[in-house]
Amino acid sequence: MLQGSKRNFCNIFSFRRSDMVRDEDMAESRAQIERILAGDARAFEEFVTQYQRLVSHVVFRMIDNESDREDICQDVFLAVYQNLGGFRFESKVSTWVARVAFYRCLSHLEKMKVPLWDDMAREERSLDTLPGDYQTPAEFAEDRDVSARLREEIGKMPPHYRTVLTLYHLDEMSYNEIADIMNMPEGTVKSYLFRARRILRDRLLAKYGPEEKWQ
Amino acid sequence: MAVEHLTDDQLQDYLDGNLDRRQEQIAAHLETCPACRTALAQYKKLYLGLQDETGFELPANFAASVAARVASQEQPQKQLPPVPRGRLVETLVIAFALVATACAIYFFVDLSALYTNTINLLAGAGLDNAFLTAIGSLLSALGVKNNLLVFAGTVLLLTAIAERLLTLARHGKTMFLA
Repeated sequence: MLQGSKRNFCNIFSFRRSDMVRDEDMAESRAQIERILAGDARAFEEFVTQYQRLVSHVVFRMIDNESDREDICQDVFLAVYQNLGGFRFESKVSTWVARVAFYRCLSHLEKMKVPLWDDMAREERSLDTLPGDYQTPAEFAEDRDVSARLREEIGKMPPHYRTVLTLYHLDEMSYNEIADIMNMPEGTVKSYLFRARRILRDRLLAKYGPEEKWQ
Repeated sequence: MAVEHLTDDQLQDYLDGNLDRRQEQIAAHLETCPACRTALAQYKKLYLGLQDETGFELPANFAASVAARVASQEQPQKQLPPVPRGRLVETLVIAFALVATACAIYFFVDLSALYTNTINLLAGAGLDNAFLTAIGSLLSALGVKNNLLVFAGTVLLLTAIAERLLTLARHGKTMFLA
């Protein structure tokens, strides 16, 4: 799979015909990109402002090292800028930008030799054997930050699972859009998403108990 | 008889709105099954947690800094190309050529006669004649050692060819096109 991701990295700036969209915002995006290509620095700054939330979602979720995150976000926008002239408006700009961010992160993780495809099946088996060490009400009162716990559990997942979760829940992208970004079948995206959510729910249940304590 | 509960996938499909007509069937089951309602509530809470954006903040001036970085990277294209690195060998070759040329002049030219004529010229007596005499002496010396010009020219030519070959080996043909 690692080789596959490297092979696909060569195509991240390509634009597939299947991405064809008839978005009403496309005209606006086209005008914005034409201004950037004409050398309007202000237009590019607006572009970055528009998509930095999306890029930060992908990068911050995939890259654990905080000191690398901002640099990688900058690299993503530089790559976008350098390849903007080849954009043919056959996909949403957001889909393309997210794809660039995803593969830039993959490249970084491969360079840092971070395992990309941990055995999630092993994760699920280990959940079955977790003891019921639920917190007492007093302990729960001291540890109310379920969101922090959830972020911690997401951080333990392989990068692809984190990305699927992020693009779906934070950026409200469809299975199809995520499949385009990550260059994988739509069914695989759905499988990752469902498995990741099931594991997260089980881990929170293991931590806080089966009742509504963590709800 | 055991009650058949909704699976995790069904619960997630329900929350994701993937079930079309079966959405109503799932909803009807949830009305009557507390266990599945609890499981659904847990997933709903998880969905809310997954929408939490804490920790994704970039600096306030991020967009401006990216735009500035793009501008700074474009700037060099408008300037003259930088001097290629690794010029040490070329410099040494040129220095060697100069030394070789100086040695050749010293070997083939009678410098003492040239020096004497130059002093006479500067003495100022019969300036016009002395100047012409000096030029004549120089040309005479060169004429006597008429292979000096050929030798010096050959050294310079070989130096230039060596310098270009070394540059080509380092920088490719673009150096010749620049």
